[in-house]
Amino acid sequence: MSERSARAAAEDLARRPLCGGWIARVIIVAALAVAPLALRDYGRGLVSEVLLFCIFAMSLDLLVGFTGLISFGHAAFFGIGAYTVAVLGAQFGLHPLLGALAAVALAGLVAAAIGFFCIRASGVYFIMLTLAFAQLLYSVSLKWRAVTGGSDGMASPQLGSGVATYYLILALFVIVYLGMHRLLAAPLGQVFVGIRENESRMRATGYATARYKVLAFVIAGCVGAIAGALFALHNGFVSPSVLFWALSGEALIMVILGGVGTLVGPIIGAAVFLLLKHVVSTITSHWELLVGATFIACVLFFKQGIYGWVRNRWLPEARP
Amino acid sequence: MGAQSLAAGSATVSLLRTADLSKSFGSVLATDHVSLSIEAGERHVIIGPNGAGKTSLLNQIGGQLKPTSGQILFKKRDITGLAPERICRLGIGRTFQKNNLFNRLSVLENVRLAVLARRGQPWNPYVPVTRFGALEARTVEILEQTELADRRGEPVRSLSYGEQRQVEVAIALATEPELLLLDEPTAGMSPAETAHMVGFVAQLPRTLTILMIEHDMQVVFSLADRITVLHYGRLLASGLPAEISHNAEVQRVYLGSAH
Amino acid sequence: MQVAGFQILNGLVYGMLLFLLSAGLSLIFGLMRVLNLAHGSFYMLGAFIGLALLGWTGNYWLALLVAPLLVALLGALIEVLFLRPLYRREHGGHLDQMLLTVGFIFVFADIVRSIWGADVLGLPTPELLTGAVSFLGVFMPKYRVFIIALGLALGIALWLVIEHSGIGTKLRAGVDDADMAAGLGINVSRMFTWTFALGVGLAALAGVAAGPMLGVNVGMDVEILIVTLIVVVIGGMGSLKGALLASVLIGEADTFGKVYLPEATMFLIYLVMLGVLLFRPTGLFGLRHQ
Repeated sequence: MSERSARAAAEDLARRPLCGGWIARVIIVAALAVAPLALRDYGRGLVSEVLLFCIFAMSLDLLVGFTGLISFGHAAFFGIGAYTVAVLGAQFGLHPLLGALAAVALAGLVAAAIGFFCIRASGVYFIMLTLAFAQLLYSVSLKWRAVTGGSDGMASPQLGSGVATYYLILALFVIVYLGMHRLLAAPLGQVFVGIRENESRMRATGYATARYKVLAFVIAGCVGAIAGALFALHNGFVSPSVLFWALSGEALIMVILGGVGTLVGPIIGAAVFLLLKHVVSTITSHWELLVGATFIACVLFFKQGIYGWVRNRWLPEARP
Repeated sequence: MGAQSLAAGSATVSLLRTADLSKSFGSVLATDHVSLSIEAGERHVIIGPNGAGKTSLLNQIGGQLKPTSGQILFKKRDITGLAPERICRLGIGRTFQKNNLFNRLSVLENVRLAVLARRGQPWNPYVPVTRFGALEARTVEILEQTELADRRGEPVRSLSYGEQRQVEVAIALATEPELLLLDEPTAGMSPAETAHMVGFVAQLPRTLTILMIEHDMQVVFSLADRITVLHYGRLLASGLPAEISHNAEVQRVYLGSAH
Repeated sequence: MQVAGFQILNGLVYGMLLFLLSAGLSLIFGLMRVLNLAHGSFYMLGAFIGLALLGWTGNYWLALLVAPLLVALLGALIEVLFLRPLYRREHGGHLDQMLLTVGFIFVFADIVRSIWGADVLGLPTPELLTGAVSFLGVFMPKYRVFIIALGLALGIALWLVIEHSGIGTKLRAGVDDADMAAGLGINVSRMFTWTFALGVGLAALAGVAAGPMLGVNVGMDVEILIVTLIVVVIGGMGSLKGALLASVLIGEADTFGKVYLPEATMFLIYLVMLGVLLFRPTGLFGLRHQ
């Protein structure tokens, strides 16, 4: 079979209907692009927050859903992202965008270092270690008052315009989504999925899976840091709560609620979760209880998540 | 048959050799000082009653299990205790006794992963995997070789058991091994499927050496150039099929009873 | 000499508390392959329920006995209602069970905060154990000696039960091969429930016992969880021996760390863990799982 015809045949196979196809996605992005015209500050701020958490949730799903590595410490990278922007801004007057670049680089290094230890000690130890490392960073942020302001938190440089921040977040949201989509369709993405599906088979086929897992960890960490940096830009204020275990837990919930192992799932999950949070928080102070109860219910009855459910019902052919 | 020229012995090359290989699990000796030699190009079959340590032996060669003592030499190189991925890259491919596939992925995706490891750029994060024409062509080539081409789009878990065994072999072949380890390739298959698999293995080129575990005596005697018998982890006998079938101890322990 | 001895024994006190926690966690994982991330939450519940019981009855010993039993009962209920349905899932559902326990961390934290607020509360030391006593030549608060004794006694009891009794044999059979054990007529489900109850009961006991020393507050669940996880990583998941050794090691490291390197105590502990992981990725006595 000739290369060209083989390729054509393969593309044919891979071309399966996406959820509504690309048209729906373009429409959604277009709607988001003109939203600031219709929304006032509060609404726009809310959408900004939702979008940056969508980025965070996507990054976690790369680990959990696509590579099969459950991390309970993803807040670590969010926090690195947020604090790097804030600290570099405060100490060196560094522009937040440059700070964000530095944040991503730092997150990558930290992820490589932590990943090296966490992934060697695989299996159940992985989740324990990711939690432990994240908590270590949390303690550091609390204790290092001189630099981070401790429990009081610290101010972060911003772009000066809520609208500009919004568009930056939207742009990065689209870029991260497209990037992840590309990644998952590329050989590396296939390897990640292979590791999730059957790691021993991957090893017996010649893949040094440990290295790829560290790579997944690094990519997820970098993208998580992007979300954290955007948070600092958006919020103008950073406190140790960006490193707290509850954030890691909430990120996991967003991913599972939306649909683990898909790209659209975490987006839906983050959106639903945050919107619920804003609504419910005004009614009751028992938000945590609801989060926990919802998570338990999700794991028991709704493991495929919202997008998973939608897909099974109406689009059995669809791919993420 | 190739067996005759192998029996001549002089010019043959030992592709794989185990030297005094042992594996103990606590007080249980799964592999008891096994010294075995596999010649290049031969079809070597390991037989033995259940619990004889056949799969443990294969797992040690394939890297899934670390030996307690002894050595495994592949092309004169010590591969004892190496990681499975290293051993695969050195030229040893394998199938598993229980189907060890990517159940939710399609047949094509299963085999493509193996081809990607061998011939592609697995670390590439940007170019869609379907754009690599050579990769796809090679994958389809193997699918056609193993008669799975028309099932390529189906998820592996929807295939029949026999077809899944075929996918096992396809993946192993895609890693382009010099030595192929087959762990009970016909296990659980119907007579028709078994005959099919035997025919398939028989026509594989002699550039590929095959070491397999089998229970079905018909399969064993129709494929084997040499046979090794294991019993409670020990190597009981090793030699030509005719020698083995006339070996009194082997008869007593294994061939006499059952099958 | 007196000072060093005091610190060593102090480290042992903390170590014993950690042992109660890590033994429970390890037991649950060793048998059920469930990583109970809500373990620290049960510790916290034990402390708060103990506090409440003490408030109602004025009797510390009652609180020490009844709070863990109540928590164990709660644990049994949770195991039956929430964990059991998940065993049927692929690969034993262990990942989902762990995620489930994460949900409970949130639930318990909220409940505790709603009832008792977010402040640090004190658990008064019982009359009998106030004051100091000479222990192994060192002057120690009686209460701390009590904790050492409690930890050792429970450790011996656990060891005797697991290694030398019929129950223990069944437990170990279940650890090695749950299907086989079930085939032999051992009620694996019931064993799982009892094990989970025992594990979290130990955590609750640690919570009440630690009350007078460490205080009682809402954040104690994850704080102690982290240290417990580190202990289990070092000692090796599923090993009682490992839990004991690692608990004492971390207990001492923490105590001496607080004296000589107060700002870097935490780093010291993490360094110890990393050191162990470099050479033994599954901990000192960890189960080797594939």
